[in-house]
Amino acid sequence: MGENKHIKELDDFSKKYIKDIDTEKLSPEFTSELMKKIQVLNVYKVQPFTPLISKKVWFLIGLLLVAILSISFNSNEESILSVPELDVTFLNKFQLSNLIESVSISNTTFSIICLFGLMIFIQFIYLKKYFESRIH
Amino acid sequence: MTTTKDQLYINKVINGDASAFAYLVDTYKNMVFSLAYKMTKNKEEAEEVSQDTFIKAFKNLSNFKGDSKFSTWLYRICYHTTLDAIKKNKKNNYTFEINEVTYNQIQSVETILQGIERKERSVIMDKCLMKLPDEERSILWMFYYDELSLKEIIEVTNLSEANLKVKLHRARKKLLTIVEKNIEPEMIENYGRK
Repeated sequence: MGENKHIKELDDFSKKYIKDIDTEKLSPEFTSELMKKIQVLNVYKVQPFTPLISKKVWFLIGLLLVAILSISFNSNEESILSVPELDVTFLNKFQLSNLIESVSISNTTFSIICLFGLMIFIQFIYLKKYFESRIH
Repeated sequence: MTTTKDQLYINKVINGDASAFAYLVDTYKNMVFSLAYKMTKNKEEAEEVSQDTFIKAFKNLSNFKGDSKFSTWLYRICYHTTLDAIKKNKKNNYTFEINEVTYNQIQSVETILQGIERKERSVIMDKCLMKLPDEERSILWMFYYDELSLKEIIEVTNLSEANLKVKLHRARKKLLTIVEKNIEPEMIENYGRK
């Protein structure tokens, strides 16, 4: 009973004197300053980020790259990109007829170009995620 | 449960009307600030923490289920945001010897406090409260000043009921001890040497 009385006394004491404490006041511009930040956040929320190239298109590009790479590795021909024979006699006028016929890229060079493209593609995804997280 | 008016504004914000959030800020800013100030003991830091609290609340408003009071949910964000800020600054922890409190002790302290002018008494009590460890100070503040129930404080702090009751009781005893030490000169003057 004595112990409970002390708890009650302490409780009454704390209630009476803590409630009596004068508190610090917030600065008057608090709400307006905060709402400016909230509005900025809200603008970003309302205008969601829309990518230039959609995920579907990126997937197709990736598939195409993989397909070309696999073809180039499996191909027995010296070059997979030799341009088919075209009637380019009309180019005689411009003396360019030999130019196209002579275009030929080796398998190795082509594979390197494809791999380079793939590396940029992967880095692009990471860079995009990095900048998005910074904005958030 | 959340008040109908609070819920109305919460729904407006969720539906895209960010300016409606100003109502919630104005309603609860003093409550948030007073808790943040009691925990950080610094006005500028408390204002910063209060802003962070409201920004977090705004971002996560769609996660507010409405099964507790909005104020309790906000308190929870404030409490944990402030704790993170305090941890960064690594404030000193005070250690006190807690002796059993006697009835005479409480009466003596109360008699002295009653004789002190209200404004001065408020300053003394505030200084004494600030000397308590952060967690105990915040619990006393939420329970006695903001008048949160034990259940609400449990929700805010994640403490168990038993743990909370122990901390609350210890905090009250410590506060009395600190107040007694602070007003000791007046006590000696009134009652003579112990």
